Amino acid sequence: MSRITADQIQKSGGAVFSLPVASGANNQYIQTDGQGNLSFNQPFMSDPAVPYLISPEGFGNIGSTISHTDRQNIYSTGEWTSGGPWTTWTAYQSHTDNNAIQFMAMALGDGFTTSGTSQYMQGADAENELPRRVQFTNGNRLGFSRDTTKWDNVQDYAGHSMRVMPLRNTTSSPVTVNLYAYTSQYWSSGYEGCQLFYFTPNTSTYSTVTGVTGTSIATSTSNARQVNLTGSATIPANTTILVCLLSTDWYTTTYRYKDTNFFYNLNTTCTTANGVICDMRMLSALARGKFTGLSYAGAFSGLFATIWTSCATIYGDR
Amino acid sequence: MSKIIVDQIQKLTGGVAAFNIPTVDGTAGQYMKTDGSANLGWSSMTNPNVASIPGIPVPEGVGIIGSIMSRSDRANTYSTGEWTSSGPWTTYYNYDIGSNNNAIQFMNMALGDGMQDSGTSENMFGNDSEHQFGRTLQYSNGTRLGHSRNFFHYDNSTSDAGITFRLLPIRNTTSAAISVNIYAYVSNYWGSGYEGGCLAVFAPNAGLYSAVTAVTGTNLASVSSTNANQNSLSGSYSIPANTTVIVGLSSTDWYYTSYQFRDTNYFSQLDTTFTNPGIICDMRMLQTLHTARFTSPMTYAGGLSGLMPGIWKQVALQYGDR
Repeated sequence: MSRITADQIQKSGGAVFSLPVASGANNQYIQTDGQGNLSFNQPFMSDPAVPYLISPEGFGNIGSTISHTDRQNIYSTGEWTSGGPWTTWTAYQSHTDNNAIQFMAMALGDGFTTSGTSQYMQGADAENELPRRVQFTNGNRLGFSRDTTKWDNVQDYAGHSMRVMPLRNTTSSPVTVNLYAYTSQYWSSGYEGCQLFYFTPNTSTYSTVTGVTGTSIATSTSNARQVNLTGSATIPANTTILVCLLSTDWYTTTYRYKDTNFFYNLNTTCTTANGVICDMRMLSALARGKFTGLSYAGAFSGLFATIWTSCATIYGDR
Repeated sequence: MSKIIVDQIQKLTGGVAAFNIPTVDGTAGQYMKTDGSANLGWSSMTNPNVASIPGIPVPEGVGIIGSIMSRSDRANTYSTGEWTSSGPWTTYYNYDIGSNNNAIQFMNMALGDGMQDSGTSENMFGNDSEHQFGRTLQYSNGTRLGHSRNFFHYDNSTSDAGITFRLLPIRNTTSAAISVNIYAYVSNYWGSGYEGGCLAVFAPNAGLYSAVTAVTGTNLASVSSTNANQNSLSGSYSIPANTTVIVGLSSTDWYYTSYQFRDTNYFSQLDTTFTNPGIICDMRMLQTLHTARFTSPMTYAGGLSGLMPGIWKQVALQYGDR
């Protein structure tokens, strides 16, 4: 094999290029710095098959959706107590059938997906209204701890925040992740509480999901500004689960409440080693999707499948 | 130094094509390509139409200007969660955000909850719920960007009343430095000596995102002991060629009367700032500031110069280098 060894190469009369010293990695390209210095680099390879994502996937970004209801702390029309948007709602058991449906409907919208006949919206104090907002973390925590002022000053059914964070196992084996959260809680009527829980589909491919299972990780009915909820969840191979966090507004003193709802230690939950990421297709779908199949009828297992199948429709199947 | 001067190169054994070497160099970050006829040239790998890059919600270079905005109610929070002069990391002066320790805390609060490393207590900073703004994205419809709003602090604290943070990424797309004039209004109430407002610029030491290794903070204007619901801040900054700087704007809530405060924080005269067509709002940087998780570069240790390059590097990772 013949070989010419040189530091630079030049087209006669043209620019001089300094050759790279070492080979690049597989599939890297030759890049210039504009000063004639050549090097190998990984080109930016956006995935054109997935436009309109809320944030690119695979760079360590983590987001969630967050919604809030003031439940009974509403003036007159729009408030509700144990009788939820559909039927009796027990907040700290939101992984079970009727509670799950109502939790998800409120987390994703206004709580009345089929709108009923009166067309009344569920009420919220204006300053607490968070209809399906998206939040991203800058570090290892995702959420908030905030004061609220409620003129109604009701301690029963004081209000709730509902957070949904989609986690995807990108590996071909099940992965168990540790989850950490803090929530506020005030126990008064017996229908409040706080809970860390998750929903798992029965297949990995979005479009083939036909059933969903709800699992409670931790729950509490104690009163505190910050209740620590921790536990673990096993995510099947190549599957996306929805990790949910429900909190109740903690009554502090007259008119004043604390609403705490956040995940922490996210650097422990999503690591490079375990291959668990925030699913940006699912986050985008949760933030923007219109899940018409989430009606108030029957068990949640079949109804929730529409979240995964809608994700496939909007952002592509996998 | 050895150098080979040839017009073409060809693999000796079995080489079919004789590649024509480019006559001129490309611009920084471009890659070598072929036209299929063995003529080598330079090309950008990224699509020049930024709207087609996943995660970029608006196109770049069509006059759209956006910023992200966050808030802390500082001492106007009930009990746990409030803070005064001792910031998330160390003493924090809101009128001097271009300086080392203030800059790091300003940026972490603007991008998150203010305690990036979260500490051991896991206490979040408190906010009144009506003031809850965590990395909220705002766009301008005219020549102003931001807000001036009344609100209600039940704590009624006039010291360390609350602060708003805003970040505006400005890119010079030309090959020569351009000086831009920047205008803003902020509220301020001087109670403890740690409040105030500030207009500052954070500039990298290299144009190429991935090549940034240091960042310099410069205060353009500030207000400290003057109390007003609208204080004018303005100044000019020369943005290097093909470089994106981040303009920071901090303000303090102005105490009006019992329980009533004013929070003013906005850029004005943006038509003047962006009058040169080569000056644009960097949408790659804006979206990164809105969504990215800067886990390693923004820890509370060391100076801002070495920590903040992580922001520019993250843009290169998420949306492509340039």
